[in-house]
Formats: sequence, structure tokens, C-alpha cells
Amino acid sequence: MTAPAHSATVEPAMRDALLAAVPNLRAFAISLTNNVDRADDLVQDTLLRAIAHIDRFERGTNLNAWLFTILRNLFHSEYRKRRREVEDPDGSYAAHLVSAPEQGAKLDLADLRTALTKLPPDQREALLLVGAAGLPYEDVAKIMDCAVGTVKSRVNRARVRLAQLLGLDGVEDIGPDRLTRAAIRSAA
Amino acid sequence: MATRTSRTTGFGRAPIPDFFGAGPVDLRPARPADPRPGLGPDVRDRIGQELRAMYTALAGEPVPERFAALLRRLGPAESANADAPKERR
Repeated sequence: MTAPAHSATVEPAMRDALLAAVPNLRAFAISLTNNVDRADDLVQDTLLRAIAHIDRFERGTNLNAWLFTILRNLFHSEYRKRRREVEDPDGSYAAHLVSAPEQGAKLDLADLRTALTKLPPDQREALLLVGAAGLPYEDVAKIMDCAVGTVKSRVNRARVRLAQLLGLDGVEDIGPDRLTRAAIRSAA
Repeated sequence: MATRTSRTTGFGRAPIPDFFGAGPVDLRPARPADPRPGLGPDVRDRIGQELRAMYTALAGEPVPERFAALLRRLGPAESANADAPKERR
């Protein structure tokens, strides 16, 4: 990776806040890329960019959301350049996991990580931010620079696609979920 | 002049003049069915649990030293945490 030289400095409190955000940033980046080295480069670039533009961060607002926005933008820039996802076909990343999940769920998690790479980036991001990171739809809409209804639609499509990829039952014979129905009603 | 209304969509398009006696041909593709598939609560819950389990495992990993070193380099002064005794190995 080529990190630009920075002469910027950050206050100790902000530095601690940035460091505290790293675990979530890494989790998001690894989930997005399914490649731990690439994810760590993304996180490092995110921190460097955040520090370089720290004056643009509004104190009192959600630092994690701001950092997620930067990481997401960097991921998209890189994605446009690469146009090809680097996956983890041999499951080598699973060996990196320190907190190993239960034996019965391990295969599911490996399948889930692989299936996530099959989703379009926009759907993957929305699903990870809402379903995995637990961010509110409104925050995700700001991060993704789109309408709340768009986020809901992407999350719903991502869930359906994931269910298909993972072979979960009950996809075909059921109607729209509560959020989709609400989005349809509000759009009408 | 005879006019006909499209029969393919049933949306009452404006009448199209039938200049040559043959019926107008509507080349537009038929509107695709929009079943708006969704998932049952069990499947949604299962996916949510799997995602959270994955994310929690990832977020629980130790932070690589490179990030702490990077932020230390950029800080003018030590943070409050720096006063804590260093971990002995």
C-alpha cells in the first residue's frame, strides 16, 4: 500500500476515538472484501484520510458513521479500479479468526462470507451496515448518500439473494416483509 | 381513418392511426411481473444472526499494532491511556 506522508496531528482524545473505532472499521472492511490484508489497507487509508480532513468532522456527530463513509468511498474507488473482487477461495482467512465460532456455525460463517462477495457492492454494504453493524437506516442512508427507501430496498434484495445463495428455505412462497411493505406504502 | 388501441398492455394507450390497414405492432416488452419477493421472519432472523455472529467475531479480533503505531506517530502528546503501565511480556 502507498500511504501518503502526513504531517497532520490529532488531539489525544480524537486519537483514542479513532483507535477505538478500528475494530468496527476492520470488521466492516473484512466483511466487504473478504480479504484481511486488503481490509487493513482500507482501514489505514481511512484513518489517514480522516486525519487529513479532521477539520471537516463535526464534533458531537457520529464519528463511526463518518469513518464508515470514508471507508465506503475508498472501497468504491478501489472497486472501480479493480473491477474484480479478491475473494478467499481457500478459506485461508478462517484460520485468522481468533474468536472462532461454535463448531456447528463455522461452516455457515464461511459460506456467509463467500456468499457476501457474490452480492453487488451496494447491496453488500447496506446489508452489512444495517444487518451486521446494526446502524439505523437513516445513518446508513447518509453513509451511502442515498434515500432511506433505497437502503431498505438494497437490504431486502441482499437478504433475498443471500438466502438463495445459502439455500435457505422459504424464499419463493412468501410475500414482502414488513419493511418492504412499509416502503411500498410510503412510496405510494 | 381506423384507430386501434394497444391490446398488449391494457393501459389504454392513445389510439394509433392505422394507416395501412394492418394493426399497429407494439414492440415494447411486456411489463415484467413484480412479485417483490420477501423473506419470512425465520429466514430474516437466521440471516441477521449469521451476520451479527460474523461481525462480532471480526470486531473482537485484536487490533493490529500498525494502527496504534500510526496514530501514535500523528499525535503531539501522549493520550491519557499512555500513562497506564506497559504490558509486560
